[in-house]
Amino acid sequence: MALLSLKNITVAYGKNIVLKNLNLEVEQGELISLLGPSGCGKTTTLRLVGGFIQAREGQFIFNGKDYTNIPVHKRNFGFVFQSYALFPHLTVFNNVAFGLKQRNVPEKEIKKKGNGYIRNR
Amino acid sequence: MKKNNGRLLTIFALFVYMFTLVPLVIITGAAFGSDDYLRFPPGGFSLKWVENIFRVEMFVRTFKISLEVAVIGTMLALIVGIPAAYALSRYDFSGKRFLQGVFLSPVLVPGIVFGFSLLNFLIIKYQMPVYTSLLIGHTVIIMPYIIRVISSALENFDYSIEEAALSLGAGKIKTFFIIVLPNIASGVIAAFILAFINSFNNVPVSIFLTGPGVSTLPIQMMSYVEYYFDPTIAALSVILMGMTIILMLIIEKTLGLNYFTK
Repeated sequence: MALLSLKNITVAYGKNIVLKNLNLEVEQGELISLLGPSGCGKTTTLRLVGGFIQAREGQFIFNGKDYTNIPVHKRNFGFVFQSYALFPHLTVFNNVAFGLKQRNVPEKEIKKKGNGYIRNR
Repeated sequence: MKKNNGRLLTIFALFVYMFTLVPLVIITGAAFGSDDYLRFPPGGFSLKWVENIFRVEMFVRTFKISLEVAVIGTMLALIVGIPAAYALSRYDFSGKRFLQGVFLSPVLVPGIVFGFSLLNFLIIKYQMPVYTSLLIGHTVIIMPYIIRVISSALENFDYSIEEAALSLGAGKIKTFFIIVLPNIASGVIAAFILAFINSFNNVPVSIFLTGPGVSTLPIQMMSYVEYYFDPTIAALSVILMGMTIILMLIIEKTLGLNYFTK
Protein backbone atom coordinates (compact mmCIF):
# COMPACT_ATOMS: atom_id res chain seq x y z
CA MET A 1 0.00 0.00 0.00
CA ALA A 2 1.47 3.30 -1.09
CA LEU A 3 1.79 6.16 1.41
CA LEU A 4 0.14 8.66 -0.87
CA SER A 5 -2.19 7.80 -3.67
CA LEU A 6 -4.30 9.78 -6.07
CA LYS A 7 -7.11 7.80 -7.63
CA ASN A 8 -8.86 8.90 -10.84
CA ILE A 9 -8.47 12.54 -9.97
CA THR A 10 -10.22 15.07 -12.19
CA VAL A 11 -9.80 18.80 -11.57
CA ALA A 12 -11.53 21.51 -13.56
CA TYR A 13 -11.85 25.26 -13.40
CA GLY A 14 -15.27 25.91 -14.82
CA LYS A 15 -15.36 24.09 -18.15
CA ASN A 16 -11.60 23.96 -18.40
CA ILE A 17 -10.46 20.47 -17.41
CA VAL A 18 -6.93 20.61 -16.02
CA LEU A 19 -6.42 17.10 -14.71
CA LYS A 20 -8.23 14.11 -16.12
CA ASN A 21 -8.20 10.70 -14.45
CA LEU A 22 -4.84 11.19 -12.81
CA ASN A 23 -3.48 8.19 -10.93
CA LEU A 24 -0.33 8.50 -8.84
CA GLU A 25 1.21 6.36 -6.12
CA VAL A 26 4.08 7.49 -3.94
CA GLU A 27 5.85 5.19 -1.48
CA GLN A 28 7.29 6.21 1.88
CA GLY A 29 10.70 7.85 1.43
CA GLU A 30 10.32 8.17 -2.31
CA LEU A 31 11.39 11.43 -3.99
CA ILE A 32 9.12 12.43 -6.84
CA SER A 33 9.54 15.19 -9.38
CA LEU A 34 6.84 16.22 -11.82
CA LEU A 35 8.09 17.33 -15.21
CA GLY A 36 6.16 18.89 -18.04
CA PRO A 37 5.46 22.03 -20.06
CA SER A 38 3.70 24.91 -18.35
CA GLY A 39 -0.03 24.46 -18.10
CA CYS A 40 0.09 20.67 -17.93
CA GLY A 41 -1.11 20.51 -14.34
CA LYS A 42 2.02 20.16 -12.17
CA THR A 43 1.02 22.97 -9.85
CA THR A 44 -2.59 21.84 -9.87
CA THR A 45 -1.53 18.38 -8.72
CA LEU A 46 0.53 19.86 -5.88
CA ARG A 47 -2.23 22.24 -4.89
CA LEU A 48 -4.66 19.35 -4.81
CA VAL A 49 -2.41 17.40 -2.46
CA GLY A 50 -1.97 20.54 -0.35
CA GLY A 51 -5.73 20.96 -0.20
CA PHE A 52 -5.94 24.41 -1.80
CA ILE A 53 -8.24 23.11 -4.51
CA GLN A 54 -10.89 20.44 -4.58
CA ALA A 55 -11.09 17.57 -7.03
CA ARG A 56 -14.23 17.30 -9.08
CA GLU A 57 -13.88 13.54 -9.13
CA GLY A 58 -11.57 11.00 -7.59
CA GLN A 59 -10.01 10.26 -4.27
CA PHE A 60 -6.87 11.24 -2.40
CA ILE A 61 -5.62 8.70 0.12
CA PHE A 62 -2.78 9.42 2.53
CA ASN A 63 -1.49 6.89 5.01
CA GLY A 64 -4.61 4.80 4.52
CA LYS A 65 -6.94 7.68 5.32
CA ASP A 66 -9.24 9.50 2.90
CA TYR A 67 -8.02 13.11 2.68
CA THR A 68 -10.25 14.15 -0.21
CA ASN A 69 -12.47 16.42 1.85
CA ILE A 70 -10.13 17.40 4.67
CA PRO A 71 -9.55 21.18 4.66
CA VAL A 72 -6.05 22.63 4.24
CA HIS A 73 -5.48 23.69 7.81
CA LYS A 74 -6.21 20.22 9.14
CA ARG A 75 -3.89 18.34 6.76
CA ASN A 76 -0.60 19.20 8.41
CA PHE A 77 1.26 19.17 5.08
CA GLY A 78 4.26 21.36 4.37
CA PHE A 79 4.04 23.49 1.25
CA VAL A 80 6.70 25.73 -0.28
CA PHE A 81 5.29 28.63 -2.30
CA GLN A 82 6.95 30.10 -5.36
CA SER A 83 6.74 33.59 -3.86
CA TYR A 84 8.18 32.52 -0.44
CA ALA A 85 4.93 33.79 1.12
CA LEU A 86 6.43 35.24 4.28
CA PHE A 87 4.09 37.16 6.58
CA PRO A 88 5.12 40.77 6.02
CA HIS A 89 3.63 42.09 9.26
CA LEU A 90 5.36 39.58 11.53
CA THR A 91 8.91 39.45 12.85
CA VAL A 92 11.35 36.81 11.60
CA PHE A 93 10.82 34.84 14.79
CA ASN A 94 7.05 34.97 14.52
CA ASN A 95 7.27 33.87 10.91
CA VAL A 96 9.23 30.82 11.99
CA ALA A 97 7.02 30.15 14.99
CA PHE A 98 3.71 30.65 13.16
CA GLY A 99 3.03 26.98 12.46
CA LEU A 100 3.87 25.94 16.01
CA LYS A 101 1.56 28.59 17.44
CA GLN A 102 -1.30 27.31 15.28
CA ARG A 103 -0.68 23.83 16.65
CA ASN A 104 -0.93 25.14 20.21
CA VAL A 105 2.61 24.11 21.10
CA PRO A 106 3.49 25.52 24.58
CA GLU A 107 5.13 28.96 24.52
CA LYS A 108 8.38 27.70 26.05
CA GLU A 109 8.87 25.04 23.44
CA ILE A 110 8.07 27.50 20.65
CA LYS A 111 10.83 29.80 21.92
CA LYS A 112 13.34 26.98 22.08
CA LYS A 113 12.48 25.47 18.71
CA GLY A 114 12.06 28.81 16.95
CA ASN A 115 15.35 30.20 18.16
CA GLY A 116 17.05 27.01 17.04
CA TYR A 117 16.42 28.05 13.42
CA ILE A 118 17.45 31.68 13.73
CA ARG A 119 21.01 32.86 14.08
CA ASN A 120 21.64 36.31 15.51
CA ARG A 121 24.46 38.13 13.81
CA MET B 1 4.62 78.00 -31.68
CA LYS B 2 5.39 75.41 -29.06
CA LYS B 3 6.56 78.04 -26.62
CA ASN B 4 3.38 79.95 -27.15
CA ASN B 5 1.32 76.86 -26.36
CA GLY B 6 3.15 76.44 -23.10
CA ARG B 7 2.33 79.98 -22.04
CA LEU B 8 -1.31 79.50 -22.99
CA LEU B 9 -1.45 76.38 -20.88
CA THR B 10 0.07 78.20 -17.92
CA ILE B 11 -2.53 80.94 -18.15
CA PHE B 12 -5.28 78.36 -18.47
CA ALA B 13 -4.04 76.46 -15.42
CA LEU B 14 -3.83 79.71 -13.50
CA PHE B 15 -7.46 80.42 -14.25
CA VAL B 16 -8.49 76.96 -13.14
CA TYR B 17 -6.67 77.43 -9.84
CA MET B 18 -8.19 80.86 -9.42
CA PHE B 19 -11.71 79.61 -9.93
CA THR B 20 -11.26 76.90 -7.34
CA LEU B 21 -9.18 78.73 -4.77
CA VAL B 22 -10.31 82.36 -4.81
CA PRO B 23 -13.79 81.58 -3.42
CA LEU B 24 -12.12 79.74 -0.56
CA VAL B 25 -9.94 82.76 0.16
CA ILE B 26 -12.99 85.01 0.16
CA ILE B 27 -14.93 82.69 2.47
CA THR B 28 -11.98 82.46 4.84
CA GLY B 29 -11.59 86.24 4.82
CA ALA B 30 -15.26 86.81 5.48
CA ALA B 31 -15.30 84.23 8.26
CA PHE B 32 -12.88 86.25 10.33
CA GLY B 33 -14.32 89.65 9.39
CA SER B 34 -16.17 92.01 11.69
CA ASP B 35 -18.95 92.99 9.26
CA ASP B 36 -22.52 91.81 9.65
CA TYR B 37 -22.72 90.41 6.15
CA LEU B 38 -20.42 88.52 3.79
CA ARG B 39 -17.91 91.12 2.62
CA PHE B 40 -14.49 90.87 1.08
CA PRO B 41 -12.05 92.29 1.93
CA PRO B 42 -13.38 92.28 5.49
CA GLY B 43 -13.62 95.54 7.42
CA GLY B 44 -11.74 94.25 10.43
CA PHE B 45 -10.67 91.10 12.23
CA SER B 46 -12.99 89.40 14.67
CA LEU B 47 -13.77 85.92 15.90
CA LYS B 48 -17.39 86.68 16.70
CA TRP B 49 -18.77 84.64 13.82
CA VAL B 50 -16.77 81.63 14.86
CA GLU B 51 -18.20 82.10 18.33
CA ASN B 52 -21.67 82.50 16.88
CA ILE B 53 -21.54 78.95 15.42
CA PHE B 54 -21.66 77.55 18.92
CA ARG B 55 -24.53 79.86 19.85
CA VAL B 56 -26.77 78.44 17.13
CA GLU B 57 -28.08 75.41 18.94
CA MET B 58 -29.09 73.59 15.73
CA PHE B 59 -25.53 73.63 14.44
CA VAL B 60 -24.20 71.99 17.55
CA ARG B 61 -26.96 69.41 17.55
CA THR B 62 -26.74 68.55 13.85
CA PHE B 63 -22.97 68.42 14.05
CA LYS B 64 -23.37 65.63 16.58
CA ILE B 65 -25.92 63.85 14.39
CA SER B 66 -23.69 64.17 11.33
CA LEU B 67 -20.72 62.85 13.27
CA GLU B 68 -22.76 59.97 14.66
CA VAL B 69 -24.25 59.00 11.31
CA ALA B 70 -20.85 59.24 9.61
CA VAL B 71 -19.09 57.07 12.22
CA ILE B 72 -21.83 54.45 12.66
CA GLY B 73 -22.59 54.38 8.93
CA THR B 74 -18.93 53.88 8.09
CA MET B 75 -18.64 51.10 10.67
CA LEU B 76 -21.68 49.32 9.24
CA ALA B 77 -20.38 49.77 5.71
CA LEU B 78 -17.02 48.32 6.79
CA ILE B 79 -18.68 45.30 8.39
CA VAL B 80 -20.60 44.57 5.18
CA GLY B 81 -18.01 45.95 2.76
CA ILE B 82 -14.88 44.10 3.89
CA PRO B 83 -16.35 40.60 3.40
CA ALA B 84 -17.92 41.75 0.13
CA ALA B 85 -14.61 43.12 -1.13
CA TYR B 86 -12.90 39.91 -0.03
CA ALA B 87 -15.34 37.71 -1.91
CA LEU B 88 -15.16 39.89 -5.03
CA SER B 89 -11.38 39.86 -5.16
CA ARG B 90 -10.68 36.27 -4.08
CA TYR B 91 -13.39 34.13 -5.58
CA ASP B 92 -14.85 33.51 -8.98
CA PHE B 93 -18.56 32.93 -9.05
CA SER B 94 -21.44 33.45 -11.42
CA GLY B 95 -23.00 36.89 -11.17
CA LYS B 96 -19.77 38.42 -9.88
CA ARG B 97 -19.75 41.16 -12.50
CA PHE B 98 -23.36 41.95 -11.78
CA LEU B 99 -22.72 42.20 -8.04
CA GLN B 100 -19.75 44.48 -8.66
CA GLY B 101 -22.05 46.72 -10.64
CA VAL B 102 -24.66 46.69 -7.89
CA PHE B 103 -22.12 47.64 -5.22
CA LEU B 104 -20.81 50.52 -7.29
CA SER B 105 -24.22 51.75 -8.42
CA PRO B 106 -24.76 54.30 -5.61
CA VAL B 107 -21.92 56.34 -7.13
CA LEU B 108 -23.34 56.03 -10.62
CA VAL B 109 -26.94 56.87 -9.75
CA PRO B 110 -27.37 60.60 -9.08
CA GLY B 111 -27.63 61.25 -5.33
CA ILE B 112 -30.90 63.06 -5.71
CA VAL B 113 -32.51 60.09 -7.46
CA PHE B 114 -31.14 57.72 -4.88
CA GLY B 115 -32.29 59.92 -1.99
CA PHE B 116 -35.77 60.22 -3.43
CA SER B 117 -36.13 56.47 -3.94
CA LEU B 118 -34.95 55.82 -0.38
CA LEU B 119 -37.55 58.30 0.88
CA ASN B 120 -40.27 56.45 -1.00
CA PHE B 121 -39.04 53.06 0.00
CA LEU B 122 -37.92 53.40 3.62
CA ILE B 123 -39.96 56.23 5.05
CA ILE B 124 -43.19 56.15 3.06
CA LYS B 125 -43.57 52.46 2.30
CA TYR B 126 -41.99 50.90 5.40
CA GLN B 127 -42.64 53.79 7.82
CA MET B 128 -39.13 53.64 9.22
CA PRO B 129 -37.96 56.31 11.67
CA VAL B 130 -36.13 59.19 9.99
CA TYR B 131 -32.89 58.59 11.87
CA THR B 132 -32.73 54.91 10.90
CA SER B 133 -33.42 55.75 7.26
CA LEU B 134 -30.71 58.40 7.28
CA LEU B 135 -28.26 55.87 8.68
CA ILE B 136 -29.22 53.24 6.09
CA GLY B 137 -28.96 55.80 3.28
CA HIS B 138 -25.49 56.87 4.34
CA THR B 139 -24.32 53.29 4.81
CA VAL B 140 -25.37 52.50 1.25
CA ILE B 141 -23.83 55.58 -0.37
CA ILE B 142 -20.44 55.05 1.25
CA MET B 143 -20.34 51.33 0.53
CA PRO B 144 -18.82 51.75 -2.96
CA TYR B 145 -15.88 53.72 -1.55
CA ILE B 146 -15.25 51.08 1.09
CA ILE B 147 -15.44 48.21 -1.39
CA ARG B 148 -13.23 49.94 -3.95
CA VAL B 149 -10.47 50.89 -1.54
CA ILE B 150 -10.48 47.56 0.32
CA SER B 151 -10.50 45.64 -2.98
CA SER B 152 -7.44 47.49 -4.18
CA ALA B 153 -5.73 46.79 -0.85
CA LEU B 154 -6.56 43.08 -1.20
CA GLU B 155 -5.36 43.00 -4.79
CA ASN B 156 -1.95 44.14 -3.58
CA PHE B 157 -1.78 41.38 -1.01
CA ASP B 158 -0.38 38.08 -2.28
CA TYR B 159 -2.94 35.30 -1.97
CA SER B 160 -0.28 32.66 -1.37
CA ILE B 161 0.51 34.30 1.97
CA GLU B 162 -3.00 33.37 3.04
CA GLU B 163 -2.53 29.87 1.68
CA ALA B 164 0.71 29.58 3.62
CA ALA B 165 -1.14 30.43 6.82
CA LEU B 166 -3.81 27.85 5.98
CA SER B 167 -1.25 25.15 5.31
CA LEU B 168 0.41 25.92 8.65
CA GLY B 169 -2.79 25.10 10.47
CA ALA B 170 -4.72 28.35 10.79
CA GLY B 171 -8.40 28.10 9.84
CA LYS B 172 -10.00 30.32 7.20
CA ILE B 173 -11.52 32.81 9.61
CA LYS B 174 -8.47 32.91 11.86
CA THR B 175 -6.26 33.49 8.81
CA PHE B 176 -8.41 36.41 7.84
CA PHE B 177 -8.09 38.06 11.22
CA ILE B 178 -4.43 37.41 11.99
CA ILE B 179 -2.94 37.54 8.48
CA VAL B 180 -5.19 39.40 6.03
CA LEU B 181 -6.60 42.14 8.24
CA PRO B 182 -3.26 43.41 9.63
CA ASN B 183 -1.90 43.61 6.11
CA ILE B 184 -4.79 45.60 4.68
CA ALA B 185 -5.09 47.81 7.77
CA SER B 186 -3.85 50.89 5.92
CA GLY B 187 -6.51 50.30 3.27
CA VAL B 188 -9.16 49.99 5.97
CA ILE B 189 -8.07 53.31 7.51
CA ALA B 190 -8.10 54.99 4.09
CA ALA B 191 -11.55 53.58 3.37
CA PHE B 192 -12.79 54.75 6.75
CA ILE B 193 -11.60 58.33 6.27
CA LEU B 194 -12.86 58.57 2.70
CA ALA B 195 -16.24 57.18 3.66
CA PHE B 196 -16.41 59.47 6.67
CA ILE B 197 -15.78 62.57 4.58
CA ASN B 198 -18.34 61.50 2.02
CA SER B 199 -21.01 60.84 4.59
CA PHE B 200 -20.30 64.01 6.55
CA ASN B 201 -20.51 66.26 3.49
CA ASN B 202 -23.44 64.57 1.80
CA VAL B 203 -26.40 66.74 0.83
CA PRO B 204 -28.43 65.14 -2.01
CA VAL B 205 -29.26 61.95 -0.14
CA SER B 206 -29.55 63.50 3.32
CA ILE B 207 -31.98 66.15 2.18
CA PHE B 208 -34.67 63.53 1.60
CA LEU B 209 -33.95 61.61 4.76
CA THR B 210 -34.07 64.41 7.28
CA GLY B 211 -37.14 65.54 9.10
CA PRO B 212 -38.27 67.29 12.23
CA GLY B 213 -35.60 66.95 14.90
CA VAL B 214 -33.28 64.88 12.74
CA SER B 215 -31.06 66.83 10.39
CA THR B 216 -27.44 66.81 9.33
CA LEU B 217 -25.04 69.71 9.45
CA PRO B 218 -24.87 70.43 5.69
CA ILE B 219 -28.68 70.45 5.50
CA GLN B 220 -28.88 72.75 8.50
CA MET B 221 -26.34 75.05 6.89
CA MET B 222 -28.44 75.26 3.76
CA SER B 223 -31.59 76.18 5.63
CA TYR B 224 -29.66 78.71 7.72
CA VAL B 225 -28.50 80.51 4.59
CA GLU B 226 -32.09 80.78 3.43
CA TYR B 227 -32.94 83.00 6.40
CA TYR B 228 -29.73 84.69 7.49
CA PHE B 229 -26.89 85.91 5.40
CA ASP B 230 -24.27 86.59 8.01
CA PRO B 231 -20.71 85.23 8.02
CA THR B 232 -21.54 82.47 10.54
CA ILE B 233 -21.91 80.09 7.62
CA ALA B 234 -18.54 81.20 6.26
CA ALA B 235 -16.89 80.52 9.61
CA LEU B 236 -18.51 77.09 9.77
CA SER B 237 -17.41 76.31 6.21
CA VAL B 238 -13.84 77.18 7.11
CA ILE B 239 -13.95 74.81 10.07
CA LEU B 240 -15.37 71.99 7.92
CA MET B 241 -12.75 72.68 5.26
CA GLY B 242 -10.05 72.49 7.91
CA MET B 243 -11.42 69.15 9.13
CA THR B 244 -11.39 67.67 5.63
CA ILE B 245 -7.89 68.99 4.96
CA ILE B 246 -6.58 67.46 8.20
CA LEU B 247 -8.14 64.08 7.36
CA MET B 248 -6.71 64.18 3.84
CA LEU B 249 -3.30 65.08 5.23
CA ILE B 250 -3.48 62.06 7.52
CA ILE B 251 -4.17 59.82 4.51
CA GLU B 252 -1.44 61.48 2.48
CA LYS B 253 1.07 61.02 5.29
CA THR B 254 0.14 57.42 6.07
CA LEU B 255 -0.53 55.93 2.65
CA GLY B 256 -0.37 58.53 -0.08
CA LEU B 257 -3.39 59.73 -2.01
CA ASN B 258 -2.59 57.46 -4.95
CA TYR B 259 -4.56 54.83 -2.99
CA PHE B 260 -7.73 56.23 -4.53
CA THR B 261 -6.65 56.55 -8.11
CA LYS B 262 -5.78 52.93 -8.61
